[in-house]
Amino acid sequence: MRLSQEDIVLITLMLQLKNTLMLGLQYSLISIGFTLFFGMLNVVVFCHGGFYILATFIGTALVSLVLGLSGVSPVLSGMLVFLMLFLAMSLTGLTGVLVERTTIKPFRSSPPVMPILSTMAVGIILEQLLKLFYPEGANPQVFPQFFSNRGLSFGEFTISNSELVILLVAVVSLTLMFLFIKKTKIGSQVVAISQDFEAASMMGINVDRAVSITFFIGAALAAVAGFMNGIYYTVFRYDMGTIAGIKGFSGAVVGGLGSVFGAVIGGFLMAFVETFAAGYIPGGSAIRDVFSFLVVLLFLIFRPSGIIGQKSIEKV
Amino acid sequence: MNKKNGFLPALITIVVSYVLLMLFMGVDNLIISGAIIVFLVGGGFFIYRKKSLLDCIVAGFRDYKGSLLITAVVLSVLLPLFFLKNHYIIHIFTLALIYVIASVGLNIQVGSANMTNFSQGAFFGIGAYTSALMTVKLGLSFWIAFPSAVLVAGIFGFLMGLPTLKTREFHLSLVTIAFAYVAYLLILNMRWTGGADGIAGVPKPTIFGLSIFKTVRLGGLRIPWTTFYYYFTLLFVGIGIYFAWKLHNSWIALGWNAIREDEISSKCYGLDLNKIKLSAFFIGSLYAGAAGSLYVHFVGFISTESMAFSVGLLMVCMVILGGMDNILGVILGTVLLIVIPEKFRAFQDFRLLFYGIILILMLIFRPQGLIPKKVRRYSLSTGGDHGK
Repeated sequence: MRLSQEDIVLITLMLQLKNTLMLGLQYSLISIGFTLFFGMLNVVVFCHGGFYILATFIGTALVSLVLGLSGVSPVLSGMLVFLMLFLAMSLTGLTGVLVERTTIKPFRSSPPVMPILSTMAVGIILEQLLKLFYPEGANPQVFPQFFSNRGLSFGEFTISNSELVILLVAVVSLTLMFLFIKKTKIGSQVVAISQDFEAASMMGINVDRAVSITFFIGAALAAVAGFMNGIYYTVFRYDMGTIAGIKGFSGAVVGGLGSVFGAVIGGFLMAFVETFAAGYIPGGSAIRDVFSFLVVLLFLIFRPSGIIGQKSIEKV
Repeated sequence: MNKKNGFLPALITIVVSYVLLMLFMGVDNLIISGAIIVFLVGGGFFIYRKKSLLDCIVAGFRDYKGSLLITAVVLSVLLPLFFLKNHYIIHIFTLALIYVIASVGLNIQVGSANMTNFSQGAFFGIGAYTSALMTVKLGLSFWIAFPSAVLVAGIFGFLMGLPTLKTREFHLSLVTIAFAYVAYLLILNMRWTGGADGIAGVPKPTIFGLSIFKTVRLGGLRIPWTTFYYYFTLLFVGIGIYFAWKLHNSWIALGWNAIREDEISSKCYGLDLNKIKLSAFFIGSLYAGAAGSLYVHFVGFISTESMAFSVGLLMVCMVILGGMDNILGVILGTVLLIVIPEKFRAFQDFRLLFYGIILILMLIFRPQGLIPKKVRRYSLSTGGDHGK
């Protein structure tokens, strides 16, 4: 079958949109963590990208373990992979709680530079631990393939099975997170703390517990993104966390720090700029990050409060 | 009577630390080097716990600035003479001096004005690339390339300062991070900057057309060329610190400190925040540009590796370790962070992990740094008009 010029343009566009969707889900999941932490404690957790890449490594190790089992039916191994995803989420979530307890809590009443630097340092430490102590950690790693390449086809345009799984997992975790915040008691405690930290603690809310739970959730969402990263790109390296974290933070800022919905929009905007700059600007592939950072700079100059955020009036 | 007590302890502190540092670099035995580190840390902790001794030393540093400064200069001048046989150590100390220039500049933003700038590495790279391009591609001399590098870095610092005028804290850090990545990626991907290969063959500076950076033999004595570059850099470090000190005691630095304490109230007192912030970025970047230019003419090669994001992070570590808003502390922090890891080259891979752990430990246990900043003292005779 010969494709006309218009078909090629259309298919390219569809592919770019699909890439935007996949990348956007990842960035949104990371951005939500930034926004949750910031809303609660007024800190930016710069090691969030570290959680993301940590989850990719944990996921690789666990999934390889499952696929290494002999005599397991494909269906069972598929279910085991999902179990491993939950395990990776929990482990990363616990890391998040640990990091909050050790390196963010001590700085609750110090100037905001302190948590910036301490979480930055945790990011370096996480990354270096992966590089030095994971087997062959300094080299690019390969995420084990466990889905066939087939999938839904619409003519020349296909969505593979692994992409469908990614979509499903991401959408389910996003929905669960929204439900958690809107419907549960702890969710409303989180909202209360975001509105006024001191007042919330005076109302008898166990602030430390709510903060820990938020960090667990935030880091677990980053873990979902990290898992997706592994499935979608298959090859990854220990230092991918930094840039992904900065993209996620940019997404949160562009969307409006403190707003969960804004973080989703911001994450997708970052993914859109990156994908389309790489796809449609000549020579843009190598410098696609330049375009996304230029967008961030433009937002910081003209609308520092982000898309959703409200303009805050400061008083002395 | 009481005043005299301080001089000797302060002098002894300087000389003992200096001798230990020399021994540390000189011996070829990791165990002895480790023991020296343990001794230094233990000694520092001992002095820190013994309040009377600490006060004595601090008073000495305060009252005898002049003579202690002369001691420090003499000791730094003597330094390469101990290592004439091993020019690699002189190389390391020269690198440390170059980084001192960059981190003293960064201290203006991070320490004095409390604007966490992660892009000092990018300005360092911009200075280095400007100098390298001008000498290699245009064939200009160091004496034209150096001021241009300083100025170009300063201009970029000013430009980066513009979006920070409306932003604070995290947003400001994001601006600097974004800038660092944009500069890195653009230089990496442009053809006239050499791309990933970088620029090689950057010539050494000449003075009045004479190339003085050559290895010299005096009788049986062989003086490596790095020795001369060490003195050359020391001169620039001296000039840089002199200006940083002058600035530190000026109205401008008072403005930086004011926005560090409270931005909104400084605005209410009628301070021009834009001028204060832009000057901090401009002046700090001048220092980074100078350091970059000196670096590239020393090493002879520049690639984007030298301006990666982690370089800027390392410079922030130096400022935090030494002590924010304290020039002496920043110098100490920089020298320690460059020199000590070099000795443990066998553990090269663990270097970044080490930096991360040091940074966290410092933030938790001693956030004011090794040498904390001093409260400004004004007396009627010298600075009474500051209240006008």
